[in-house]
Order: sequence, then structure tokens, then C-alpha cells
Amino acid sequence: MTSIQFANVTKTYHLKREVYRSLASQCNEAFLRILKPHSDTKDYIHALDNVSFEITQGESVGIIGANGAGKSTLLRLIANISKPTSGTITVHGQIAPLLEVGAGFHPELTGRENIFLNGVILGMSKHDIRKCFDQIVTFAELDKFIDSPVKLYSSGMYIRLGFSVAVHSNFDILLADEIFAVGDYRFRMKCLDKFGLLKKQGKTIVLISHSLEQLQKHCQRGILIRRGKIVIDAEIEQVCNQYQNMEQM
Amino acid sequence: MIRYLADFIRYRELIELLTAREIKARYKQSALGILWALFQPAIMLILFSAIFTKIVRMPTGDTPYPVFLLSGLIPWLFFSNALNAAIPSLVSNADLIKKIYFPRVIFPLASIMAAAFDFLIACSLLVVLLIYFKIKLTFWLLLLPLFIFLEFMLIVSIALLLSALNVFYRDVKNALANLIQIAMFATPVIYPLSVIRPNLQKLLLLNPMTGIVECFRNVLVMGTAPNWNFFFISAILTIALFTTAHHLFKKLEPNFADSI
Repeated sequence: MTSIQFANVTKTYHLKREVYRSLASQCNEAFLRILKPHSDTKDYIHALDNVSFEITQGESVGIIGANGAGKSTLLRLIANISKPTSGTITVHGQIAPLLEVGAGFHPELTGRENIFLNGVILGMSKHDIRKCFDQIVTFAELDKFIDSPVKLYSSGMYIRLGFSVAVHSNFDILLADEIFAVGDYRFRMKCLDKFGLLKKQGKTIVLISHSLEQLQKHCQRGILIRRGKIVIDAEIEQVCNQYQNMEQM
Repeated sequence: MIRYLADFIRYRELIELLTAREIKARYKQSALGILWALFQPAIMLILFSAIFTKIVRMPTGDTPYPVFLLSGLIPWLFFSNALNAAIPSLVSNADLIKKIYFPRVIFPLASIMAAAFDFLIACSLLVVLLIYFKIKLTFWLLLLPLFIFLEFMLIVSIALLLSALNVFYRDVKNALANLIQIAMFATPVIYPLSVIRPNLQKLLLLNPMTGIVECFRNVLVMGTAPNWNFFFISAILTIALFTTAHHLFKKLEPNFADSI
């Protein structure tokens, strides 16, 4: 069964849009457009340029590419956070977007309150959360601190809690952006074990990482992106090799 | 509107928890906690009552001025607090909007619900005053939920419209904070409509809050039937606003994450 399908997807950003546009600068732009009607074409950047691929259920795919290649844009499009400029995206199943661990945590609320808030944000019902609440807390190793406000947590504790909620939500597709960079060695190992388990359960996993070693360990397939285009979409070893060759050139 | 209700039911728990987050976060690590919700109406009540009973007399008929004032102040403060919280709500939740998808309408809604909670707390002050001044309640009071609903819809409409615009122009928030303060004087909150010249009254009725405050006051302290003309003017304005706001919000929503 198809999990994620991209058909000729293009995403363009207007460079000026990225920064705050004041009324004055917009008037200025409008004025310039009258003077030089065709000068603004290079203000656009193709974050993704006519990208097509298909990911079937249960696959684990690593997205590889240099900074600014369009990896994060790709995940944001899958997660329906932003819309493609053209092309169509079809996604089947509930998504757990781990684009930032602990997005939506409120510093003043306790760990317990934040688990409920974050869980519901990820599409669980309060009933579901109550059922796996203990598992979430145990996995995050936060039994003693669960009723303290998260603003008192260390960054490691914060990340463990965010990760734990996300992997316990009943998702079909896990999107993860550079999550191996966080947590200490022991917790990272634990996360990797969890990943193995999720794969066995038939969950679709899409990972972004600069650590080729980690990707090779966890993905069968790799997609290499360069300047918004897919360079190669094949087995992970092959893709990693090509990426290394490309970078060394 | 039916779609909104469906979303509302589907995302009930999320709205509930985001509302709770806003309320809890506001009163955590504060010694007086929830009592702060009473502080704002109480201080305005004391201040305006002192001015308009001791210094200048405001002609409010048989109704004691403090009750008259509070019956307008409470719906007004709901309006102003809800908007001041809801309009920056999309921008202040930028981290969530950029990381996860769910209907964006939920953010302004949760802010409004949190303000509604303060409104209910503030109502207890009104109950105290109604008892103290021995105001006779009539069965017209049963219409109150209707006016609260109308006010809620008015707030939702303005919040949808302006919170979406605030994503693109942060000026909206600043302009509005000042505008709301001024608008209180363009609404019969501290004075009765009867002291206004008739042609100016018509102008005031273009402010949808005028009709709402008047209806609140009619059924609550006067114990009379609401002024249905005023009610329908406010209702029509609200429906028009809601339709506009809904379309604009739907149109702008897909761009929020890229522009915020």
C-alpha cells in the first residue's frame, strides 16, 4: 500500500517573503516592478523542483543532501504544514511529525500536563494517552520529575519527553528531522532500538540525517536531493556512496 | 459554520487542552492566581463608580450606577480581553504552526475560550452586586445565553479576520490594542445610550457591541425585554463579519506556515 506519493511537486519561496515585509518595502517593490517588469524572477527560489516519488507502507527512507537542498521542505510538505506551489501530494495514514522534538511544550506546565497536550496535538485522544501514560514516562526516564514544570528540565530531559510522546502516539508515518543529534549515548541507543521495533510493526519512517552511518543502519532506501531535485533514489548504501563522492568533488 | 462546528467537535480535546494551557500558564507561579480575573473588573468598577456617582452624576434612572456599569463592563471586558489574546495567537504559536498541522482556527478559538473562562469568573462579581443592590430578576434573564452566544460569534469573527492578517502585518495587533481601548467609549458601557443625541445613537449602533451590551443590560438589571431591533442589528453585522472572516481565513490559512 502506498503511504506517501509525490507527483511533480514543486515548492517555490519568494525570497522577500521570508523576511518581514513592511508596507513601505512593498510599495517600493511595486514601484520597482513598474520600472523593471521582469527583474524579479531571481527573487524566487525552487526549494523543490518537480519532485516525484512513492513510499510504500513499512518502508524506512533516509533523505540525504547538503544544507539547503530541500530536505526539510520535503518533510514539511509531507506533514501538510505547507502547501506545494504545484503538483500533488497524497498521504495515507496518521503522521507523527518530529520536526522539532517537544514542539508545543509549554515551559510553565508540568511534564504530565505537557504529555497530554503534546499527545493530543499529535492526534491521540486523552483516553489513548491515559492508557500508555506510564510507558511514555518510563521510556523518557522521568518518573521522579513528571509533576515538575518542564522549564526546570534539562535539555536532555526535555528531548527525551518529546521523543517519548511522539513514538508512543498511534501514527502510521514517522517523520524525523535530525533527531539523532540529541540525547546522550545511552538514550540514543534506546531510540534506535525503538526504531527497529517500529519498523517491525510496519510503520513508515522518513528520516533526515547528516549521519550517513545512522541512516545506513536504519533505512533500506535513500533519496539524495541536490538543489531541490532528486539526484538518486535507490538502496541506502548506493545513495550514501554517491553523496560522498559528490561532496568530495 | 457547520464545518466549524464539526471541527470543533473533532478537535474538542485539543481545544480543551490548549485552553487549559493558556489559563494555567497565566496563573501559574502567581500568588493570587485566579483572583486576578476579578481584579480588572473590580478596579474599573471602583474607579468609574467613584467618578460617575461622586464627581459627575450619570443619569441611569432607577438602576444604581455600579450595577448599571458592571452589567456593561463584563461583556465588554470579555470582548476586549478575548480579542487581545486571540489576535496575536497565531503568531505566538508560530513554533507549533511550523511543526505540526491541524486546523489553525484552533489557536484563536482556544484564546477566546480562555477569555470566556475569565468572563465566567468575573460574572461572580456581578452576582454579588445584583444581590447587594437587591435587583429583581425576571424571566427575561433566560435569554442571556443567546446574547453570550452572539457576542462569542462576534468575537470569533473579528478574531479570525484579524489574527490571519496579523500573520502578514504585525501592525494589526498594535493597532487593535489601541483601537479597543477607544472603542469602549463608542459602546454604551460607562454611560446609558439615552444620554447620546439621537442621530449619534444611530452611528453607535453600527458598532455591533452596542446592541449586545444593551441587550445584556436590558435582561440583567432592567428586567425588561431586550431591544430586539438592537439585537437584530448586531446579529446581522455579526453574520456579515463572520462570512467575510471565514473566507479570508480559509484563503490565507495555507500560507501561514511559510509567512509566520
